[in-house]
Amino acid sequence: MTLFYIAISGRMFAVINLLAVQGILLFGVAFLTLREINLVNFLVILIETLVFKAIVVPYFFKRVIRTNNIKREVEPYISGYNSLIIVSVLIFLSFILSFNLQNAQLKVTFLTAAFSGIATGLFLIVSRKKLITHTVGYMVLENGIVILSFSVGKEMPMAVNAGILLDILISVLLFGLFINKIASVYKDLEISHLSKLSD
Amino acid sequence: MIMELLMYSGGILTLSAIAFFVRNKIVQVLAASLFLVLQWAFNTFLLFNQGVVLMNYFKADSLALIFITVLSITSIATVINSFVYFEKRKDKLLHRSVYLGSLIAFIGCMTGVFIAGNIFVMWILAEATTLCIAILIYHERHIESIEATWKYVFVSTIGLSFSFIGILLLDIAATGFGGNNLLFSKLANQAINIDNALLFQISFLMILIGFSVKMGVFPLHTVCIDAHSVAPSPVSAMISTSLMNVGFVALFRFYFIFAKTSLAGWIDHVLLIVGFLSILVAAVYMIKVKNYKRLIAYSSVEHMGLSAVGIAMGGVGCFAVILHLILHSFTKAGIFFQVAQFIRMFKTKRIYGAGEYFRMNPFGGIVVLMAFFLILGIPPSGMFFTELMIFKAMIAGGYLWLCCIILLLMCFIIWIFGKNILKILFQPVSDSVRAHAEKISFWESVPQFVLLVLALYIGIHPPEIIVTTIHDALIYLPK
Repeated sequence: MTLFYIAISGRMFAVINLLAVQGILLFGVAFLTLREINLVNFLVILIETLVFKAIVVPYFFKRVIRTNNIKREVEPYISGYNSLIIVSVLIFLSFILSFNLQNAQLKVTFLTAAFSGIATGLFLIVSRKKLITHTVGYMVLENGIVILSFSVGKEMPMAVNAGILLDILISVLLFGLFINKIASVYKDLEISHLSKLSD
Repeated sequence: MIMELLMYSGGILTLSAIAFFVRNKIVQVLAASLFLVLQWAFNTFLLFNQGVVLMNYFKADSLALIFITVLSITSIATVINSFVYFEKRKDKLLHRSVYLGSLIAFIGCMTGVFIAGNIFVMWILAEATTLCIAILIYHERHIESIEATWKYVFVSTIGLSFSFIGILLLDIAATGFGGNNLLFSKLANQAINIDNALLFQISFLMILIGFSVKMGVFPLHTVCIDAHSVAPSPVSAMISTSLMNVGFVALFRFYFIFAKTSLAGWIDHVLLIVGFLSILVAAVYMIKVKNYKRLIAYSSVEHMGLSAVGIAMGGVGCFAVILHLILHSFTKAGIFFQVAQFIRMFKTKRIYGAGEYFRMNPFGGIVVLMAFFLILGIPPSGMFFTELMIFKAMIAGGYLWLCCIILLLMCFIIWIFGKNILKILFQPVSDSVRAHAEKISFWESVPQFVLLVLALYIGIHPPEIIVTTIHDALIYLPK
C-alpha cells in the first residue's frame, strides 16, 4: 500500500511515465484485492488497468506530444517546491477526511489513496499551463476514482467497469483529437489562449 | 418490453450511423424523419405502458414520461430548424452528416437518461450526452468553437467524474441497508438511516457539482454559457431545454433518495443556496452581456436556479417547478430557434449590431415579442403562475426575506432582458444593415410559433393529464 503514496506524491514531477507506473500499481492492487469476484469481472478490471491505464493511454499521450512538438517542460504556475508542499497538505487532508468517513465497507487505505489521487489530479489541472498536463491531471483524478471503486470492489457491477472504461477511452481520445485541432490553430498549447469567450 | 427497448436503441444507433456515413441529402432527410417517427413511436409506447420496467435498468416513471414527451416535441422543431440552418449556411455534406449523426445519438442518450432506473446506467448515458453535444457545439468550426468545446468537454467530464465519486460514496454509504443494486426506486423507497452524515453529505455535494454542468446552475454553469454562445442555434435550444432537463431529472432523482432521511433539511439548504447564487450570477452577468445568445443563456441559468429554489421549498414548490420546466423548455426552444434568424439577418451575435427586426420580419417579430412575454413570466404566461407558486411556497416556508431578494433580482433581469430584446426589435439601424439584411420567409417562424402557443396553452389551462402525471411524479416525496 505504501507504494501508492509514493507514486501519488512523487507524481508532481509530472511525467507521463508516472501515469504508466500508476497503471501498473493499479493492476497490482486489483490483482491482490479483488480475487474473490467472478472471473469475467476480474479479467475486465485487469485488462482495463494494465492495458489501458498502463500502456495505451501513456503511449497515446506521448504520441500527441511528439506530433505536436510540445515542449518537454511542464510549465507550472506554481513552482515545484511549492507544489510538493501543497500536494503533501492535500494528502494529509485526505487522511483526515478518510478517517472521518471510514466504516465497515470502507478501508482507510483505499479511501486515502483515492482522495489523494483525486485532490492531486485537481491540483494538477488548476496549476499547470499546458492543455496536455491538464489531461494528465484528469487521468490522475480518474485513477483515484478507480481506486475508490475498488473499495466497493466486491459487489462492483459490470456497469461500473464499463462506465469507467468508456469514460477513459472516449474522453482521452477526444482530448487527444482536440489537442491536435487546437495545435493546428495556435502555436503552443497553453490555456491562456483559450480566453476569448467572456463577457 | 425488452424488444421495444432494443428496437429503439438499435434504431437510434443505425439511424445515427446512416446519417453519419451516408453523405447524401435525401438520405439525411430520410434518416432524420425516420428518427422522429422512431422517437414518437417509442414515446407513445411508453405513454401507454406507464411505469414499465425495462430489463431492470430502465423504468419509465411519470417524471421520465413528462420530460421525454417534452423532448420529443422539441426535437421535431429542432430537426426542422437544423435543416433550415444547413440550407442557409450552405454547410458541407460532411459537416451536415456529422451533425445529424450526433444529434440523433444525443437525443437518444437523453431519452435514455430520462428513463434510466439504475444510477450507473444514468451516469454512463449522461457522459455519452457530453460527447455527442461536444461534436454539435464544434459544428461551426471557428476558433471560438474550439475553445468552447474544449472547455465544455473538459469541465463536463471532470464534473461527471465528481458525480461518479459521489455515486460511489452513496453506494458505499447505502450498502449497509441492502440497497446496493443502485436502483433509484429501491433507494428512494427505503428509509435510509443516516449513520455517517458526512459521507452522505459529501456524496450529495459531489453529485450536485457534477450535474450542475448539465443543469446549468451555479458551480459549473459557466461552460454551459460558453457552449450556448458558439453552438448552432438549434443546438443551443437543445442545450437550454432538454440537456438542462436531463441535469434536473438526474438531480431530482437523487433528491428523492435523500428526501425522507434526516438530511433532507440540509439538502434543501444546499439547493436553496445553489439556486439563489444562480439567480444572482445570472442577474449580475447579464448587465455586461453584449451577445444576445449569452443573454438568453443567462436567462436559462436564472430559470434553473429558480427551479432549484422550488425543489428546496418542497410541497407546492416541486409541482410548480416541473410545470415551470415544461413551459420553460417550449418557450426557450422557441426563442433560440428565432435567434437563428437574427444571426442570419444581421450577420452578428452582438446586440448593438441588430435592430428593426419587427419591421423586417413582422411575423418573426410577433413570435419574439410573444416569447419575450412568456419567458419573463409576464401574465398571461404560465410561468407567472408557476413562479407565483414557488414564491408562495417560499413565503409559507418562512423565507420571506429571501423571496424579496429574489424578486428584486428578477425585476432586474426583466429590465435588462427587456431592454435588449426591445432593442433588437425596434432600435433603428443604418441603411447598409437594412440593405444587407436577408429576407426571411414567414414559414420559418411557424415551428417556434407552434411551440409558444403550446406553452401558452399549457400555462393558462394545464390539461388534466399533465397535472395528474406531475402529481404522480412526486410520489416519492414525503407529503
